[in-house]
Amino acid sequence: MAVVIRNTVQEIKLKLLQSIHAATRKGAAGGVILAPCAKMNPKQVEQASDLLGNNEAALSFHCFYDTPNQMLCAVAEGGGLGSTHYASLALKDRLQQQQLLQGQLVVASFPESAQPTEAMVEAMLEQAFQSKGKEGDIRFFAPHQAACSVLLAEPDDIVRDFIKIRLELKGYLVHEARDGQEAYDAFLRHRPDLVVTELNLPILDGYQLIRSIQEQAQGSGQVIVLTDKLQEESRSRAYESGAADYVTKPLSFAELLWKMKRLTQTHENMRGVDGR
Amino acid sequence: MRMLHYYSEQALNGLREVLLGYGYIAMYYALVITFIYFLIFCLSIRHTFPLQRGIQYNRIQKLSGSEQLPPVSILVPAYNEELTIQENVRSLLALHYPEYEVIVVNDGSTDDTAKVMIEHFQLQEIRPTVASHMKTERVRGYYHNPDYPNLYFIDKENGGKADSLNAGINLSHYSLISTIDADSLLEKDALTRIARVYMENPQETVAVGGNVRIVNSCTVEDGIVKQIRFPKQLWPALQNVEYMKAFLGGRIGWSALNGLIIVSGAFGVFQKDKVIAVGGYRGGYPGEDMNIVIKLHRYCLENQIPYHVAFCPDAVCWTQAPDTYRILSSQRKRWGRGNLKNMVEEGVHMLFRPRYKVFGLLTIPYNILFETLNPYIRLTGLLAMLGYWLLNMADWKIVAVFMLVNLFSCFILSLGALLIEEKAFSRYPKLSDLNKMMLYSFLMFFGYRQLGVLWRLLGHIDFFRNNNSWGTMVRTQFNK
Amino acid sequence: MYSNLDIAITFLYVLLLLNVLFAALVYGVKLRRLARARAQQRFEERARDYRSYILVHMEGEEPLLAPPFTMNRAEQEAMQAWLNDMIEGLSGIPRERCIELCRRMGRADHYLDRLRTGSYGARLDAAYHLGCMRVQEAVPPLLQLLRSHPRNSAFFVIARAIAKCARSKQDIHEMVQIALKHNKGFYELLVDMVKEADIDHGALFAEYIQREDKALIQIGLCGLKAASEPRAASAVYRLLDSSDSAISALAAAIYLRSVHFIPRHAVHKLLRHPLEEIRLLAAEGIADLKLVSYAEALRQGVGDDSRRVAYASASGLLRLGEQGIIQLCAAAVDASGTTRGDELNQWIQDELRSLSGLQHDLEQLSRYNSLAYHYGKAAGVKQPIYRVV
Repeated sequence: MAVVIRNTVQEIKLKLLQSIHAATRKGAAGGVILAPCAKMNPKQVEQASDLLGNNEAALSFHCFYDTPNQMLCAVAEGGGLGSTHYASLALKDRLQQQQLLQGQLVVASFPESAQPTEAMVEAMLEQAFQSKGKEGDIRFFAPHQAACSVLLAEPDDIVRDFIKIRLELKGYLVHEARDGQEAYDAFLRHRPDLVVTELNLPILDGYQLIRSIQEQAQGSGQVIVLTDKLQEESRSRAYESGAADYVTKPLSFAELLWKMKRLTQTHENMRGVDGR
Repeated sequence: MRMLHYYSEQALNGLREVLLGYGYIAMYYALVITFIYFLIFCLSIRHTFPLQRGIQYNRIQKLSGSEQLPPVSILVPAYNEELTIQENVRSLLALHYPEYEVIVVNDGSTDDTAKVMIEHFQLQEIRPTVASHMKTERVRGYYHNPDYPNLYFIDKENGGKADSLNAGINLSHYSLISTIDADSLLEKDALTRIARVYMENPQETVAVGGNVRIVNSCTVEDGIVKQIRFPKQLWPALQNVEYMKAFLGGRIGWSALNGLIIVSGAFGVFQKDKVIAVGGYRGGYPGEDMNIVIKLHRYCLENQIPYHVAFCPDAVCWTQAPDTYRILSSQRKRWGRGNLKNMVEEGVHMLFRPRYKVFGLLTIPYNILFETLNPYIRLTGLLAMLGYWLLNMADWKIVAVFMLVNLFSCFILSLGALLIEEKAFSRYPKLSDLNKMMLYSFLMFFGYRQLGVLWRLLGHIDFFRNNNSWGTMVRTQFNK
Repeated sequence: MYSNLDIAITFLYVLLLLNVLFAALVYGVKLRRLARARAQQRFEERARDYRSYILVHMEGEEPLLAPPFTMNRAEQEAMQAWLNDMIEGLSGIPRERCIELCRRMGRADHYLDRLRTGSYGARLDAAYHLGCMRVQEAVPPLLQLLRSHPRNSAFFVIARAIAKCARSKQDIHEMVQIALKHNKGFYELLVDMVKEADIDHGALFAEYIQREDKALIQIGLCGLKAASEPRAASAVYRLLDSSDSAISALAAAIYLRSVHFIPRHAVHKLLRHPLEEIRLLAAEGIADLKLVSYAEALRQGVGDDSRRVAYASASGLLRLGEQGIIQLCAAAVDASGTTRGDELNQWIQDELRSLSGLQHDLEQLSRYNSLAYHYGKAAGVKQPIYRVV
């Protein structure tokens, strides 16, 4: 029995790989959407194909449904990650309406997300299979593991969501906290490599959080402050408490990312030097 | 015998004339008071729209980080607050505001308030240069800890709340001061909201009052009000609708006329130089919050300084309302006493004098006639009713209609306040909260208002007896 | 009396009716708000995927696409509010993408229309949203609206919107001119608004300082409050003599913050300035910059009329090392017999007392020794000197 299953996975994998290569043949990107679905008849597959083509993303999708694995696969030529993601919104909506969706959609664009190799395609299929039975957001296929863990302490929901999603896309493992106490508890529990925090936190304010973290980490905790306090005094006070860097709002994500990379790099170098 | 009969008949007729005349006076009194109420409430409602827009279209969170916000000295007089002072000061130190200081003044507490403060924040004694704008009781020490750069602590001998505020003013470093009760919970953006009102007219805005809301039955965690609920107990519930009526229905309107007579002691912001110019807070007697505002009006009007005493209803300070009859009555007697003292000391000088514009021509007369003298009018009204009954003058229909008209014209004002609350703020999330507000607004007229009059009268009696105690206020925890 | 009763009863009925209507109105407002909240909750669920699409691709090269589902009016407003938050909370490419998206969704045009033809409430709403979306074409109609608008909270909403949409310094300048006509001194608020504009505010404020108009000068000074480059110092120097005390105080604060060294003529001007505030800042500034050469000049400050200035000068001298301490002790002894002299002596002794408790700190210890020695020499009183063991 096991042999049979592997064969069907092998089949879908090869078929998918073929489509992707066909789409990217001319050097364009190949957008891929995988949707775990219940039994779909050819007419429904065609409807899905039409739907995916008929929106502002203006991509033409080639869809096929793999019955043994119950997976709807859609490949578009010239689909960057953005437009593919956009198209998948409409697809998810329709599939949910028709009560066909059985898991979470997985979206990718080759070569943007990864190189279109057999291993990558298999990993993406794996991710789609694993999401069966779960409900929720559209997932992205990201091959690299979490390079680094970050604790994000930010009371503003919007900024927090923004940073979390972007960091996760870049491969970071993100722990969230909404206030100072939650942040401190999360720090003790997860011991992240890096902390990004606001100064205006409820319960335990930013300065106290930084000081407590430094006490725990014996002075080698890496904390970046991200805040809307623009005064010089706040900046110097933050540094005195033990912050490593200071980013002001309105947020420039590129600046934050660059500073985070720099901090983890110097930390790595220091570790290398000390041999610890 | 016939002479006696004749004279008694004459006397009774005379009495009937008097009572009839009184009836007309009472009617006019009621008409004028209702008219002024309606005027103020209409102004309040009319101002709700620009108010709502000001709240909706200003990005307060962004403003909270701005360098342009004026620095504020928050003064916190504390007397026997050992249970809650630490939590409350922590909460005050975590406001979302760029530059401010918190000055806690220990008013010679007999408990461990000072010890708790010094130990918890590891304060050390300092010797700052302190101004001597106002004389206060002896200060035993000033304390500070550079780890908490915004916090100062003054340990002083007992002198009362006004005295403590004056001591705080002497130490304060900024030109705006904010008075806060030690047991009040300030919302994180309250100071920013008031600062915005101030910044729109910084030279003329001499005082801005905040909105005081009742926190009983709300869930409070770590100094933040997490869940807002209408109070479950009777007394806080009645006070809640009373405050709403007074603050939203009354103060918005009065402030629009620049006739606002009081900025709540629980939360208000003042221009320090003007407060010093009027001699600081008057100590030794309750009602210092109304007193300072009256003095500010007087000072600015006499010196022809353009000014405005503003009210900022979206800046919220949560406070615990008394939940037993004893404490509530003690508080209201105190208020009655303070009100009378203020009118006698300051009010009479401004009564009906055009020099004092709206304040002298409308606010003070309104306050004297309809707040201070109200108990006496009601008392005589009661006697008159008795007279009507005894002399068979009463047509019950008239009396009933009169009372019903009175009831419903007051109730519509409560509805006005509820409308403002729902339109512009809507802090209570459930429909059941609105039902309760309606119910208690109605019930207010069946006993609570009458009790209010009684307490005010008792307060006046205390005044005449020169009884100057502060009464009882038992510190309880939140979440009751 | 009978007819009176009839009138009264009719009045009562009218009143009762009004009460019922009002109560209905209150319930209406509440119920509508609750329904809206529920609808918004449902919409949040629906729009969640779209929102994460926006968040994920905000920095990509592909332009952001409008939502693939239709939205009713309330939902559009909710989406708009969320996009406003994005635009306000982020900077750089993500912000531009969101602004582009709003345009593509037709929101800019929608609000420009409402600005032209709507009711007052609609126009104000449009002004706010156009400001959030930084729609540059909106500036002329917004300026027009501002010109005829009374001075209240809404006035500032419109002014802020103009600042956010401003195309150039000229737009900002026009807005400021209109605002200043009301002559109410809300300079800090104007500066806060100008800082939201996408122009070089440093240059604009520096320009304003050079003008003759007092209001513009004050705006410029407020804007440069946090400045600390030497360039700012030279720019504000001439304003130290200004007749307006607010201007000279602000100028002095900026000057002292921005210089690294104060030339002699400036020191004299500042320490002798009629305003107490400026003398105070000067004393603190000399001490902060450790300008020992001015210890003698600072000694004059110890005799100042204002107690605060005297105290600041005294503590400043203490911080200026040996020279400062010598000057301070000499001044204290010279002034003995006067109230100021007594105060000085008291301060010195307080300082000695508090320093003597800090013997473990070498710096404080040497300061203590220095002060004790010189004070003892000047006053002829022997003070205990601690030695390091």
